[in-house]
Amino acid sequence: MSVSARDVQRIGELARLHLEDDELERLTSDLNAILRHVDSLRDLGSTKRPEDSSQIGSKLESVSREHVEGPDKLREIPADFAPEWKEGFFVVPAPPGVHPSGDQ
Amino acid sequence: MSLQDKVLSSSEVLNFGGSGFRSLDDIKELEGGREGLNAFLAVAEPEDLEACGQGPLEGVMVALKDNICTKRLPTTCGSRILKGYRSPYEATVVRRLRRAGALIAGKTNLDEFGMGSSTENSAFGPTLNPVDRSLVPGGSSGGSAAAVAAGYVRMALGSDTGGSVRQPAAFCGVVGIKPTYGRISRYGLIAFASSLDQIGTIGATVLEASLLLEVVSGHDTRDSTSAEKPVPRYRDAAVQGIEGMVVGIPTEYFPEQLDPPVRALLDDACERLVAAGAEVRPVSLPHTEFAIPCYYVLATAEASSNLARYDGVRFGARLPAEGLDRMYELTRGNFGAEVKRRIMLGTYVLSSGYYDAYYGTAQRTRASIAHDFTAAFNEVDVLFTPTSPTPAFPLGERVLDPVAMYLSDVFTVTANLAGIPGLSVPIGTVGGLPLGGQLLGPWWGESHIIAAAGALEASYREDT
Amino acid sequence: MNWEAVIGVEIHVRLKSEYKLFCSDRAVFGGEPNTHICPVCIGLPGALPVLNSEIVDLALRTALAFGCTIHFESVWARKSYFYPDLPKGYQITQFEHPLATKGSVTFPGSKGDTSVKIRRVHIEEDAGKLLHDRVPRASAIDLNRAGTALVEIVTEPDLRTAADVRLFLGELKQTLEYVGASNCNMEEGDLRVDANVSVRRSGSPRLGNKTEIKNVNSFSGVERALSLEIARQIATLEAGSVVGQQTLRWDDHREELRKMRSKEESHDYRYFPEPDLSPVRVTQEQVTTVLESLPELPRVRCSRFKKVYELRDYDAEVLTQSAANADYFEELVGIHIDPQVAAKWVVGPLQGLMNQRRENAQTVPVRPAQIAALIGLIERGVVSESAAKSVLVILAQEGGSPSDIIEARGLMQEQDIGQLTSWVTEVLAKRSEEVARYRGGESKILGYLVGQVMQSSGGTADPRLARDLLIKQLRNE
Ligand SMILES: [Zn+2]
Repeated sequence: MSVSARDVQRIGELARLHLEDDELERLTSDLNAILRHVDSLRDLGSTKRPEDSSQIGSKLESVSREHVEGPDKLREIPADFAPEWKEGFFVVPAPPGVHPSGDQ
Repeated sequence: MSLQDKVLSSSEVLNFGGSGFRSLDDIKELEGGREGLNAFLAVAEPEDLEACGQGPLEGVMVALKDNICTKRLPTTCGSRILKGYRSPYEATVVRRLRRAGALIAGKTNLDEFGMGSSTENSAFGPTLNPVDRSLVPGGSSGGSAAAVAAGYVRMALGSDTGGSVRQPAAFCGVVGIKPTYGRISRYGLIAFASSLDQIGTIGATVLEASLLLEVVSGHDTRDSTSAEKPVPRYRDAAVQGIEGMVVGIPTEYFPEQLDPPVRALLDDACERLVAAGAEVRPVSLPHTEFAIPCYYVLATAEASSNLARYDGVRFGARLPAEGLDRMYELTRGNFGAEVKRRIMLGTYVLSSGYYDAYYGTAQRTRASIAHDFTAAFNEVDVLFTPTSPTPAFPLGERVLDPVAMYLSDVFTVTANLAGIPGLSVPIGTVGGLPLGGQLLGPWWGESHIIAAAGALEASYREDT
Repeated sequence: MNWEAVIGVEIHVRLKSEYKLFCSDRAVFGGEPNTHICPVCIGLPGALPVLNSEIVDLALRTALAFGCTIHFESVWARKSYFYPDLPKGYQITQFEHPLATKGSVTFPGSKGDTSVKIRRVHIEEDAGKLLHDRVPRASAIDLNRAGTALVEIVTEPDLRTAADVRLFLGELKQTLEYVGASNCNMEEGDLRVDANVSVRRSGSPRLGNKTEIKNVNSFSGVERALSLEIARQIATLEAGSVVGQQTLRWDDHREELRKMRSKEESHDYRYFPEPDLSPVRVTQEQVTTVLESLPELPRVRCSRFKKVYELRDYDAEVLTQSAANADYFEELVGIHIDPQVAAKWVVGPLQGLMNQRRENAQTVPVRPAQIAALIGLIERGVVSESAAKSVLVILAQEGGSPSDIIEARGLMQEQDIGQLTSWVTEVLAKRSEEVARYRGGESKILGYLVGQVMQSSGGTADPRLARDLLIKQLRNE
């Protein structure tokens, strides 16, 4: 399979990555080179599988927690690491179509 | 008295302090000078060395790859997107190190988010190989391997998603261990590909890498994928010998194209294993050729999801912009080229209409690769292979060719896909550059590969 | 030919768990923003989820209450999309392998008992809250809710009218409360409903294009939104147009449906198995334990009450609307109170008392043994029914035994003929008009006169004796 510049543009939107024109061009050719290599996987598509589950995690016991208070509470307030923090809230620009009505 | 003598002479607490070990000032001076390797992204200040426990690493300086969360030092993942980020909590391994008495010397350079095989993908510049500064140290734990090889520290932690501990250990001439998936808690290890990531240890010797492994291993209630398995005394395994051990040589890992001098060193290593009492026999791992494409589908799929949280909303660097969508795109535009490439590939293979063709097929291939190993370990105790097809390559050589870069992981990704432990140990030099031999073991078979590596190391030591 | 709507619903239910799904923060409603958060639920780098096992039991209760098949291994998946209230950029949910499938709910619909098949029940984490009225020109995020546990219940498109959807949701809510899976507090958003609806000619096997209505958190809202949308689709089809597949958002204040922007709805969620968590494993033993601990469901209990206790439909339905009322009733029956009498007391005076005190059958201070004693005193003629109701109120306020209260307050039923006679004489003297009407053949006026005697006695007169005395005097004179 191969991807066009438009495909790459669409994937970029899905991944919320801003791509400059030259980046877009490069990525398209890089992705196609990688996909050519990855396509060899599909030659394997028809051969029989020894197991149908490959979840490495399934080799491990299922781990769950009884409801106990863990020690990893946030001791410092998020203001220390948040890009924008006001009155106890994380703050972001409004999503499209939303008109914030906060006063002040 | 050598380190090994100390271990053998005392079952009590080991004292690693004293002569031969660098101080923080030494490290700063070395890194800051013209001969600096850029191995460290941050070196601790004396006041950062918190009071520590009295364990087997009392007073020992240990360096951490900068994708392991620390409270005292910044954790950047080699990315602009986490520049200056200070984690409000610390990784389980850091807690375990301190309990064992270790001192955290600093944070080491890496390919951004662990994505790379040369440490050239760091937003903070490449690390140089201490053996030859024109070469890459390997990656992505290049800073940790270089710091140990240069003698800044005797031990360091890295992380290994597709070979990122073993390959730089091989390129720098030190020992690197990637244990079984689930052996070491990933809590506080910043995820690249969760089902493949595993913290690994790098040491100047097999014993040091093994002791560090022993200290950081074990179950952690904060990581559902960490196993409730007792931790053996790996330091003892390093010196226990390999009399009667059966070593498999997978034919697929010794392709025609392998350089004759590389092959010669591998053959020599096999002879040394036999001389140490092991039996060597060929085995086959037929799905090996599919490992790289399989790995790049699964690793990038998981990465595209793991890196979605870097959105500039709750932590890290945000690029201001009008409107939310623009803020997302500009902030995430801060990722480097390789990270973007992998997010794009991962997003594509998971997207509607392509999931089965790529992700589904890769999952089934992964099962086949794991099954190859299960079958092989019914016949043999460990496998011996090259760690990498070549020794360290020149800086800049593969930066523009992602596929060539990906192919340098060809012998290491299988252990991550199968979840099994792998170890790289120096087996001599090619044109003055160190070459690594890889030992692979069955699930929870760390002790076997450590024993085999210890035997090889002892054999080379006798040469000198 | 008539039109028929085909409706399926997805209900997000907040489980009644004390802690969040994958971390040790408390799951609490309200409170200061961002005070119940930790590295895990706000998605800090390196943090990992660990399943809180309490929640699997609550989800099992939900699934088993609807008769679902439980899957012994269900798999967590990541659902990816970007939104500021979704910390990790993905929601941990279950996709290909849910906890449970294939159940059903039967409810009294507008055309009698109606069955709706449940397609699946799965567990997932909730997002935080994005608020647009807290800071100037920007949006504020509160992550206290992020990572709290939900189950999503998905039905087959078996519903046909907006009214039935509302009745179905009522049944569902009652069941969830009954089995203790959720508090179902609508104001706190414990139940949120998405509905998909299409319209076709009645009896046609083909489905029309469907639209999806999102974000409704009241049952009346669901009914109104669906009614509007069904009418719109019918009008569209009758005008010869085609219904476009689209997603609509219900605006509760304006009572209108608004089309979501195409970018909002064109999600490609890129589901894949969550590598940080092993699959949820449930044993047969666990299923059996949960099944045994489930209370009898309301509808089953209601029909048993009618059959075994021969209760009227109304009493049986009212009693089984809450498990606590039904339990209270059965406790009374257990201490040998006649079921009819017990039902009358629980549905009547006790319910009145609970309403007044804003309490339920579990918290109301008057316990069944006390009511049973009171009923016994009525039956032995010690206290009148009307006086007994006052005793009930006093019992709730002061506690103690009914007989002590009756004695202390002189609420014994008056059986002294001399005292009764004087009250009767007094009433007859005052009510000469009614006396005349009685004598004129209007015998049902007697009840009024008995009431007057009761009033004169302050409720203590034995009504049977008072009645006898009245008749005697009315005939004598
Ligand atoms: Zn939390």
